[in-house]
Amino acid sequence: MTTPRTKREERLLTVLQAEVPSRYATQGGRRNLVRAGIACLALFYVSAVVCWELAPSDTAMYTTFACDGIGIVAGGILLGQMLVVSRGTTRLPDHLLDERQALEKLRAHSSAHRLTVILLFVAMFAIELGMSRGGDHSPSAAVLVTFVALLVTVVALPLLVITWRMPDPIPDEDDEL
Amino acid sequence: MARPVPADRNKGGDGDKDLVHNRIAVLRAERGVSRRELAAALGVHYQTVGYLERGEYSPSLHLALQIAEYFQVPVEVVFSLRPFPLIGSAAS
Repeated sequence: MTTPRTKREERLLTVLQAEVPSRYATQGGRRNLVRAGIACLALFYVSAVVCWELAPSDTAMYTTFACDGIGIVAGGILLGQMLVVSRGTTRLPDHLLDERQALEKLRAHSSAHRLTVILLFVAMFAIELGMSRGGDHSPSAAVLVTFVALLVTVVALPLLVITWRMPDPIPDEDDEL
Repeated sequence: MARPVPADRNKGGDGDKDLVHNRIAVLRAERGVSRRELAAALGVHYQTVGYLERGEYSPSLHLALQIAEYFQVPVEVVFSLRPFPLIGSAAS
Protein backbone atom coordinates (compact mmCIF):
# COMPACT_ATOMS: atom_id res chain seq x y z
CA MET A 1 0.00 0.00 0.00
CA THR A 2 1.34 3.49 -0.83
CA THR A 3 0.43 5.19 2.43
CA PRO A 4 2.69 8.03 3.60
CA ARG A 5 3.26 8.05 7.35
CA THR A 6 4.81 11.49 7.73
CA LYS A 7 4.52 14.90 6.08
CA ARG A 8 8.00 14.39 4.62
CA GLU A 9 6.93 11.13 2.96
CA GLU A 10 3.81 12.84 1.64
CA ARG A 11 5.92 15.61 0.05
CA LEU A 12 8.35 13.03 -1.32
CA LEU A 13 5.52 11.08 -2.94
CA THR A 14 4.04 14.22 -4.47
CA VAL A 15 7.37 15.08 -6.08
CA LEU A 16 8.17 11.57 -7.23
CA GLN A 17 4.73 10.69 -8.54
CA ALA A 18 4.52 13.66 -10.87
CA GLU A 19 4.46 13.08 -14.62
CA VAL A 20 7.76 11.88 -16.09
CA PRO A 21 9.40 14.64 -18.21
CA SER A 22 8.47 14.05 -21.86
CA ARG A 23 12.10 13.64 -23.00
CA TYR A 24 12.32 10.56 -20.78
CA ALA A 25 8.97 9.10 -21.81
CA THR A 26 10.69 7.01 -24.47
CA GLN A 27 13.11 4.16 -23.97
CA GLY A 28 15.72 6.00 -26.04
CA GLY A 29 15.52 9.08 -23.84
CA ARG A 30 15.82 7.08 -20.65
CA ARG A 31 18.71 5.01 -21.93
CA ASN A 32 20.57 8.16 -23.02
CA LEU A 33 20.16 9.38 -19.45
CA VAL A 34 21.68 6.11 -18.20
CA ARG A 35 24.55 6.40 -20.71
CA ALA A 36 25.25 9.92 -19.44
CA GLY A 37 25.21 8.53 -15.88
CA ILE A 38 27.69 5.81 -16.86
CA ALA A 39 29.91 8.47 -18.45
CA CYS A 40 29.90 10.34 -15.13
CA LEU A 41 30.81 7.14 -13.29
CA ALA A 42 33.62 6.57 -15.78
CA LEU A 43 35.17 9.86 -14.66
CA PHE A 44 35.75 8.38 -11.21
CA TYR A 45 37.58 5.43 -12.79
CA VAL A 46 39.63 7.76 -14.98
CA SER A 47 40.84 9.53 -11.86
CA ALA A 48 41.59 6.15 -10.24
CA VAL A 49 43.69 5.04 -13.22
CA VAL A 50 45.51 8.39 -13.29
CA CYS A 51 46.25 8.04 -9.57
CA TRP A 52 47.61 4.52 -10.01
CA GLU A 53 49.84 5.75 -12.83
CA LEU A 54 50.96 9.18 -11.62
CA ALA A 55 50.32 9.56 -7.87
CA PRO A 56 51.82 11.11 -5.88
CA SER A 57 52.01 14.12 -8.19
CA ASP A 58 50.23 17.42 -8.86
CA THR A 59 48.88 16.06 -12.14
CA ALA A 60 47.22 13.15 -10.34
CA MET A 61 45.81 15.46 -7.69
CA TYR A 62 44.35 18.01 -10.14
CA THR A 63 42.97 15.27 -12.39
CA THR A 64 41.31 13.58 -9.44
CA PHE A 65 39.75 16.81 -8.20
CA ALA A 66 38.54 17.70 -11.70
CA CYS A 67 37.15 14.26 -12.61
CA ASP A 68 35.55 13.56 -9.24
CA GLY A 69 34.20 17.11 -9.00
CA ILE A 70 32.56 16.94 -12.42
CA GLY A 71 31.40 13.40 -11.67
CA ILE A 72 29.77 14.42 -8.40
CA VAL A 73 28.02 17.53 -9.78
CA ALA A 74 26.90 16.15 -13.15
CA GLY A 75 26.27 12.68 -11.75
CA GLY A 76 24.20 14.13 -8.92
CA ILE A 77 22.01 16.02 -11.36
CA LEU A 78 21.60 12.96 -13.57
CA LEU A 79 20.82 10.66 -10.63
CA GLY A 80 18.20 13.18 -9.52
CA GLN A 81 16.62 12.95 -12.96
CA MET A 82 16.71 9.15 -12.78
CA LEU A 83 15.05 9.27 -9.39
CA VAL A 84 12.17 11.25 -10.90
CA VAL A 85 11.98 9.01 -13.98
CA SER A 86 11.90 5.84 -11.85
CA ARG A 87 9.52 7.56 -9.41
CA GLY A 88 11.89 6.86 -6.56
CA THR A 89 11.26 3.13 -6.75
CA THR A 90 14.78 2.19 -5.65
CA ARG A 91 14.97 4.75 -2.84
CA LEU A 92 11.51 4.89 -1.29
CA PRO A 93 10.74 2.68 1.71
CA ASP A 94 8.66 -0.40 0.97
CA HIS A 95 5.48 0.90 2.57
CA LEU A 96 5.37 3.68 -0.03
CA LEU A 97 5.57 1.26 -2.93
CA ASP A 98 2.83 -0.87 -4.41
CA GLU A 99 3.44 -4.52 -5.32
CA ARG A 100 4.64 -3.76 -8.87
CA GLN A 101 7.08 -1.12 -7.67
CA ALA A 102 8.30 -3.37 -4.86
CA LEU A 103 8.95 -6.11 -7.43
CA GLU A 104 10.80 -3.66 -9.71
CA LYS A 105 12.91 -2.53 -6.76
CA LEU A 106 13.76 -6.11 -5.91
CA ARG A 107 14.71 -6.90 -9.51
CA ALA A 108 16.83 -3.75 -9.81
CA HIS A 109 18.71 -4.50 -6.59
CA SER A 110 19.16 -8.11 -7.64
CA SER A 111 20.69 -7.12 -11.00
CA ALA A 112 22.77 -4.41 -9.35
CA HIS A 113 24.09 -6.97 -6.86
CA ARG A 114 25.22 -9.28 -9.67
CA LEU A 115 26.93 -6.39 -11.46
CA THR A 116 28.56 -5.31 -8.19
CA VAL A 117 30.04 -8.76 -7.65
CA ILE A 118 31.53 -8.71 -11.16
CA LEU A 119 32.81 -5.17 -10.60
CA LEU A 120 34.44 -6.12 -7.31
CA PHE A 121 36.23 -9.04 -8.97
CA VAL A 122 37.49 -6.77 -11.75
CA ALA A 123 38.56 -4.17 -9.19
CA MET A 124 40.35 -6.80 -7.13
CA PHE A 125 42.40 -7.94 -10.13
CA ALA A 126 43.03 -4.34 -11.22
CA ILE A 127 44.25 -3.36 -7.74
CA GLU A 128 46.38 -6.49 -7.55
CA LEU A 129 47.89 -5.57 -10.91
CA GLY A 130 48.43 -1.97 -9.81
CA MET A 131 50.09 -3.03 -6.57
CA SER A 132 52.37 -5.54 -8.25
CA ARG A 133 53.47 -2.89 -10.75
CA GLY A 134 54.03 -0.36 -7.98
CA GLY A 135 56.19 -2.72 -5.98
CA ASP A 136 56.45 -1.77 -2.33
CA HIS A 137 55.40 1.80 -3.02
CA SER A 138 51.71 1.59 -3.96
CA PRO A 139 50.08 5.03 -3.77
CA SER A 140 47.54 5.13 -0.96
CA ALA A 141 45.68 7.92 -2.78
CA ALA A 142 45.05 5.54 -5.68
CA VAL A 143 43.52 2.95 -3.36
CA LEU A 144 41.29 5.62 -1.82
CA VAL A 145 40.19 6.99 -5.20
CA THR A 146 39.47 3.47 -6.45
CA PHE A 147 37.40 2.83 -3.35
CA VAL A 148 35.44 6.07 -3.94
CA ALA A 149 34.78 5.02 -7.54
CA LEU A 150 33.49 1.64 -6.38
CA LEU A 151 31.36 3.21 -3.67
CA VAL A 152 29.73 5.68 -6.06
CA THR A 153 29.09 2.86 -8.54
CA VAL A 154 27.45 0.65 -5.93
CA VAL A 155 25.21 3.54 -4.85
CA ALA A 156 24.23 4.44 -8.42
CA LEU A 157 23.81 0.95 -9.92
CA PRO A 158 20.24 0.15 -8.79
CA LEU A 159 19.06 3.50 -10.15
CA LEU A 160 20.89 2.95 -13.45
CA VAL A 161 19.44 -0.56 -13.77
CA ILE A 162 15.85 0.45 -13.04
CA THR A 163 16.03 3.46 -15.39
CA TRP A 164 17.48 1.27 -18.14
CA ARG A 165 14.78 -1.38 -17.76
CA MET A 166 11.77 0.86 -17.13
CA PRO A 167 8.83 0.36 -19.48
CA ASP A 168 7.33 3.45 -21.12
CA PRO A 169 5.07 5.34 -18.71
CA ILE A 170 1.36 5.11 -19.43
CA PRO A 171 -0.06 8.40 -20.72
CA ASP A 172 -2.56 9.95 -18.33
CA GLU A 173 -5.93 9.33 -19.95
CA ASP A 174 -8.03 10.52 -17.04
CA ASP A 175 -9.18 13.60 -18.92
CA GLU A 176 -10.82 11.40 -21.51
CA LEU A 177 -13.22 9.89 -19.02
CA MET B 1 5.51 6.82 -26.79
CA ALA B 2 3.34 4.31 -25.02
CA ARG B 3 1.56 2.01 -27.43
CA PRO B 4 -1.96 1.20 -26.28
CA VAL B 5 -2.89 -2.47 -26.44
CA PRO B 6 -6.49 -3.65 -26.20
CA ALA B 7 -7.07 -4.99 -22.71
CA ASP B 8 -8.36 -8.35 -23.93
CA ARG B 9 -5.32 -8.85 -26.16
CA ASN B 10 -2.68 -8.09 -23.64
CA LYS B 11 0.65 -9.84 -23.36
CA GLY B 12 1.87 -11.02 -19.99
CA GLY B 13 4.61 -9.07 -18.31
CA ASP B 14 6.97 -12.04 -18.20
CA GLY B 15 6.29 -13.43 -21.65
CA ASP B 16 3.68 -15.70 -23.14
CA LYS B 17 4.00 -18.38 -20.46
CA ASP B 18 2.52 -15.96 -17.93
CA LEU B 19 -0.09 -14.54 -20.27
CA VAL B 20 -3.03 -13.22 -18.27
CA HIS B 21 -5.75 -11.39 -20.16
CA ASN B 22 -7.83 -8.81 -18.40
CA ARG B 23 -10.82 -6.56 -18.93
CA ILE B 24 -9.89 -3.81 -16.50
CA ALA B 25 -9.97 -1.08 -19.14
CA VAL B 26 -13.39 -2.22 -20.38
CA LEU B 27 -14.85 -2.36 -16.87
CA ARG B 28 -13.29 0.96 -15.99
CA ALA B 29 -14.64 2.67 -19.08
CA GLU B 30 -18.06 1.07 -18.62
CA ARG B 31 -18.30 2.45 -15.08
CA GLY B 32 -16.69 5.79 -15.79
CA VAL B 33 -13.85 5.24 -13.35
CA SER B 34 -10.54 6.97 -14.01
CA ARG B 35 -7.20 5.24 -13.56
CA ARG B 36 -6.36 7.47 -10.65
CA GLU B 37 -9.66 6.70 -8.92
CA LEU B 38 -9.18 2.97 -9.37
CA ALA B 39 -5.56 3.22 -8.25
CA ALA B 40 -6.55 5.17 -5.14
CA ALA B 41 -9.22 2.60 -4.29
CA LEU B 42 -6.73 -0.26 -4.72
CA GLY B 43 -3.86 1.53 -2.96
CA VAL B 44 -1.53 1.29 -5.95
CA HIS B 45 0.21 3.79 -8.21
CA TYR B 46 -1.95 4.88 -11.17
CA GLN B 47 0.80 3.75 -13.52
CA THR B 48 0.37 0.25 -12.11
CA VAL B 49 -3.25 0.28 -13.27
CA GLY B 50 -2.00 1.35 -16.70
CA TYR B 51 0.60 -1.42 -16.83
CA LEU B 52 -2.08 -3.93 -15.76
CA GLU B 53 -4.38 -2.77 -18.54
CA ARG B 54 -1.55 -2.89 -21.06
CA GLY B 55 -0.67 -6.41 -19.92
CA GLU B 56 2.86 -5.45 -18.92
CA TYR B 57 2.28 -6.53 -15.36
CA SER B 58 0.34 -9.48 -13.97
CA PRO B 59 -1.17 -8.76 -10.56
CA SER B 60 -0.80 -10.84 -7.42
CA LEU B 61 -3.78 -12.93 -6.40
CA HIS B 62 -4.52 -10.39 -3.68
CA LEU B 63 -4.60 -7.46 -6.10
CA ALA B 64 -6.64 -9.46 -8.64
CA LEU B 65 -9.24 -10.23 -5.98
CA GLN B 66 -9.23 -6.59 -4.89
CA ILE B 67 -9.90 -5.47 -8.47
CA ALA B 68 -12.74 -7.98 -8.85
CA GLU B 69 -14.21 -6.83 -5.56
CA TYR B 70 -13.97 -3.19 -6.60
CA PHE B 71 -15.98 -3.87 -9.77
CA GLN B 72 -18.24 -6.27 -7.82
CA VAL B 73 -17.75 -9.09 -10.30
CA PRO B 74 -16.21 -12.56 -9.97
CA VAL B 75 -12.46 -12.57 -10.59
CA GLU B 76 -12.84 -14.66 -13.76
CA VAL B 77 -14.89 -11.82 -15.28
CA VAL B 78 -11.84 -9.57 -15.02
CA PHE B 79 -8.99 -12.03 -15.61
CA SER B 80 -8.60 -15.02 -17.88
CA LEU B 81 -5.84 -17.25 -19.16
CA ARG B 82 -7.54 -17.23 -22.56
CA PRO B 83 -8.31 -14.11 -24.60
CA PHE B 84 -11.72 -12.64 -23.91
CA PRO B 85 -14.11 -12.85 -26.88
CA LEU B 86 -14.50 -9.59 -28.76
CA ILE B 87 -17.75 -7.71 -28.10
CA GLY B 88 -20.24 -8.68 -30.82
CA SER B 89 -18.54 -11.96 -31.67
CA ALA B 90 -20.58 -15.20 -31.48
CA ALA B 91 -18.75 -16.40 -28.38
CA SER B 92 -19.58 -13.25 -26.40
